[in-house]
Amino acid sequence: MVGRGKLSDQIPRSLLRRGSFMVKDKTAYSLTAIILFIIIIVMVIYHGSRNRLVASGTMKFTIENPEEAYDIWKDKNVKGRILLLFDNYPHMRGYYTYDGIPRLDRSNFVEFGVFQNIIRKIFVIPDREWEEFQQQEAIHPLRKAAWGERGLYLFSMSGIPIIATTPASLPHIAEEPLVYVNDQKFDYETTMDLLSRKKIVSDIIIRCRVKGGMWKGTSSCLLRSSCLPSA
Amino acid sequence: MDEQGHVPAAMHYWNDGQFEPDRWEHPPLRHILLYGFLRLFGDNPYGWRMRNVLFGALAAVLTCLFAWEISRSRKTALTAGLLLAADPLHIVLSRFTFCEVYGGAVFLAAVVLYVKYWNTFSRPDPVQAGGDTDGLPDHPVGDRHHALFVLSALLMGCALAIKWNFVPGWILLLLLALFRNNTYRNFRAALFVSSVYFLIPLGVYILSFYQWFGRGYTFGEFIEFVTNIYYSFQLYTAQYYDQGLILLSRISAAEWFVSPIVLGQGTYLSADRGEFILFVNNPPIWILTIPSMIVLAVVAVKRRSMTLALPMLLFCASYALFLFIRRPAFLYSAAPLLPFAFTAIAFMIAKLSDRYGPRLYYAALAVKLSWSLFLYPLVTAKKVPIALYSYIINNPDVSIH
Repeated sequence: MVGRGKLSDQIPRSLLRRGSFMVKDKTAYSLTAIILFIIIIVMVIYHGSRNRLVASGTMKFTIENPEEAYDIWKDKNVKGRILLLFDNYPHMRGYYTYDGIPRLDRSNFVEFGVFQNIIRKIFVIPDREWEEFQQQEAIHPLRKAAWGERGLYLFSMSGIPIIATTPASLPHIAEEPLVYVNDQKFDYETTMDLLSRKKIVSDIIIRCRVKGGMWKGTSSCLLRSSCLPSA
Repeated sequence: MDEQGHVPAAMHYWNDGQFEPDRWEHPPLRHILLYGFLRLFGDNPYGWRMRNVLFGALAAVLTCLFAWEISRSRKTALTAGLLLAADPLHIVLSRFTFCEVYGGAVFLAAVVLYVKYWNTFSRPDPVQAGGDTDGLPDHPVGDRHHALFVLSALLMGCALAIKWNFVPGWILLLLLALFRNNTYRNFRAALFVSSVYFLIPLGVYILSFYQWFGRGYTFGEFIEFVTNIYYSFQLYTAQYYDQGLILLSRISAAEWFVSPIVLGQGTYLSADRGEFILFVNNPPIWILTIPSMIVLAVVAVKRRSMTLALPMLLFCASYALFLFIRRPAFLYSAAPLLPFAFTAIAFMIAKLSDRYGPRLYYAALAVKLSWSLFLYPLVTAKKVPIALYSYIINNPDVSIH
């Protein structure tokens, strides 16, 4: 920027020195910007990791009511976790569509976990055939997952990442997820075998023996116009 | 109005890092700003709306400064500022919680600082120039001026962290800075421009998600989330909105500057009086936008002045987004374009008055401001005589109760 072209011969030395300082100054600004950017990245990564709380060891629970899963998570003080859901597509209608403050019930324990920041991401392995699952009215795919043909990111009102996939396409999950198995829909032993084949280790594995699964509904308030804010 | 969703979303985001009931696709600085105003003024209409009132007023001042930096003409600067201050759409949006007002003001502040920095380089140093300033390359400016560029980058980051709509303007300014005087060929200069004007805005954008990261998310999941936002925007076609939404009747950005648009709702208080909240595009003024942009472009090319071309370039970059996106382009999205449109209009009026006499300038200004002020009570829910505005109210897009 400084002292280029014909003009450079005419610039007094004092100005050249000033120009040289300017270049150094620009470099200082550049380095400061880069360092600040790195600090921001480190800061948010640290903030995220600080809010992921895992229970020690591996605990297995058998429950009869789906909403008991939430109580277990709460009791074990876990937070900011991935949920591996071997069940129907979860009931996710959005915080402000409830009449008043949302209350825990058998149909919304997953969403309730999201509201309480216990769950930050969901891998859902639906019980239905893949093609049949995709044709459900409640399913609004955003995009295909990068790691497999049978992996779909689904829209939700809260924006929480929900990835639907099949047992065979389930990717390895590096961190310990919470696992919930509806054993009316999935064979528990087969599911455990799948987890071990995928090298997925969990701190809390919940087996739900309730008849009919966690949610029997056929539609949810995902992208229906009545559920959306005005603009 | 939208504040029914925006206010609880601000509290929800600050406390839990969650976006509901607002859309999760929009960046969250809006929530942080609103939360700050709620703390400052309380959870009442002042707290809800002062953000837009203050930033709306600031936008008029910034438009004035922008037009001044572009033209160095008091007439142009004053006219541009006044046109925005009196524009009915800008006034209506400044009374609610629409992000176009404060987002637009922050974006404009970034642009003003950018142009100021740019102009610092453009005016040749008289010591070097020896009185002849034509065709000289940059002179070494005082180091403190780089702070303008850094500050502009910070504000640009804030604009991006309010809405993605400002991305085209950001990329345009970044490219102009890189290509100006072949900066990209000089490693240190290119590093300076790209690190400051790319990394700082990006850093601010990421930082605005701090509360969201507090839900346990990783940086990889942030990339995943931003990708999901992009795909989710593709889902938002007209049929996905509440079909009772009044704005849905006019969703094409192509109409904004060429045909009258009146949207809104109102109530008849008696047989001859009523009150209305209307979103209008003020055709007597807006219609001049495209011709003014052409005039500005011609003058900029003649003078070989990139600075003069900036309003046109920023307008085109921002407007092109709305012309080509799939989701409906509601009229309120035009608000951030107005400072650039009004700068071009003011520039044209000032040029014409230079040629045809100052009376033309004052007459044009008086007519335009009178018209805007005539619309003011109609659009802002003041009690108005129906007869006076019947030709505007009797519009199929105005829903009367």
